[in-house]
Amino acid sequence: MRIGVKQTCAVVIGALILVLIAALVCLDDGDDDGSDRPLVNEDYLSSGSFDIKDEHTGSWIHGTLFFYDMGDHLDATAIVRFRIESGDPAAILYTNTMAFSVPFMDVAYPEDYEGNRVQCDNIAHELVGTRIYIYGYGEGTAIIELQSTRLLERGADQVTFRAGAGDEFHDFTFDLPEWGS
Amino acid sequence: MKNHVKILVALVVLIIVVASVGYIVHVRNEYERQQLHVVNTVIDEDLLNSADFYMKDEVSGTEMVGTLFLYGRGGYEVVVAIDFDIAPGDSAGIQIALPQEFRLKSIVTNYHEDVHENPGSDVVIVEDGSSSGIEISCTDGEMTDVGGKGAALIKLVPSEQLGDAGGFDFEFAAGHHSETVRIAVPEV
Repeated sequence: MRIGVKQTCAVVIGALILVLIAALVCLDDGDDDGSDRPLVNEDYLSSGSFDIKDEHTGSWIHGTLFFYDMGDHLDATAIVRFRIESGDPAAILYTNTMAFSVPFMDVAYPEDYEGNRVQCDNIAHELVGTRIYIYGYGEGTAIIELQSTRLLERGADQVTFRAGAGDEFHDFTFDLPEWGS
Repeated sequence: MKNHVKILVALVVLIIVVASVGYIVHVRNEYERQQLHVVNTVIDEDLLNSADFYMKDEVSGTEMVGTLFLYGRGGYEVVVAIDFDIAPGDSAGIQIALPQEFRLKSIVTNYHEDVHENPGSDVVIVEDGSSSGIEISCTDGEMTDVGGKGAALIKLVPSEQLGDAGGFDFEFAAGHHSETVRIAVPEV
């Protein structure tokens, strides 16, 4: 019985030491996050780009997607430049699956346009995914922050997006290196 | 015989319990799947102003197009989105001089990710006293400037230098062609 108590004490002390070490490591990480050191390609995994032009209307979009390995999921940032000639909405990006949602996006669109310029639907009940539309005329730039959902299998080796300008729509499939390990 | 019945009943009860738990877990997972995309996209949060720019070095052919996004988040923050095409042999590449009111928080670029194992090796952070800047270029093993297309997303946060003077001036260079791009702070 006395040996059992000693063993228990040893395990508890060992656990306390481990917790202390873990806390110190976490504190160190916190200091790094707050430092002035610039981060270059932090968590960067891969990228892909796409170009679409509607020859009839003259509308076009050009986009680059940066994918980040966050361990249990993927983050992505899309830089999308576009020109809308027709006055029709440009569907600058959407996913046919529910693999990604869009928590944030910013649009630089200097042309004057009355009304709602940007529409982003993160559709839940119809299971069709996220769709982003830009309305109006002229050129602009959008920065779109995406985050994968649990429907993107961890370690998935491909992701597919659809983009469109005017009446032209195309699917773009990007290969992903190994991630989530 | 009585014991056999008891065992049988216990087995049936066990199977029912396991099946019920499995069904409940399945229903819950399906419910969570349905809820995954109930996300309200935040659009243009704290976005104060934006400025587009385009420049080209007519000699080398190196060119760059970009947009500055200015945010008001306590202090001012800036995001720079650029697409560029560096001409082969152009050792100058892309250069950005930051206003002293800002420091570099992060940069991500896909420039020549196929050439180096670490694509960040093509990015040089320049620190010169109170000013700082970014250079993007790529050389091969023989130190030849290979050129090529790329994109970059650059995030800047306030430095210790305060003040805005109505706007901020950024010095961009594509090859040996440089221009000052000003982003104004809108009046409230």
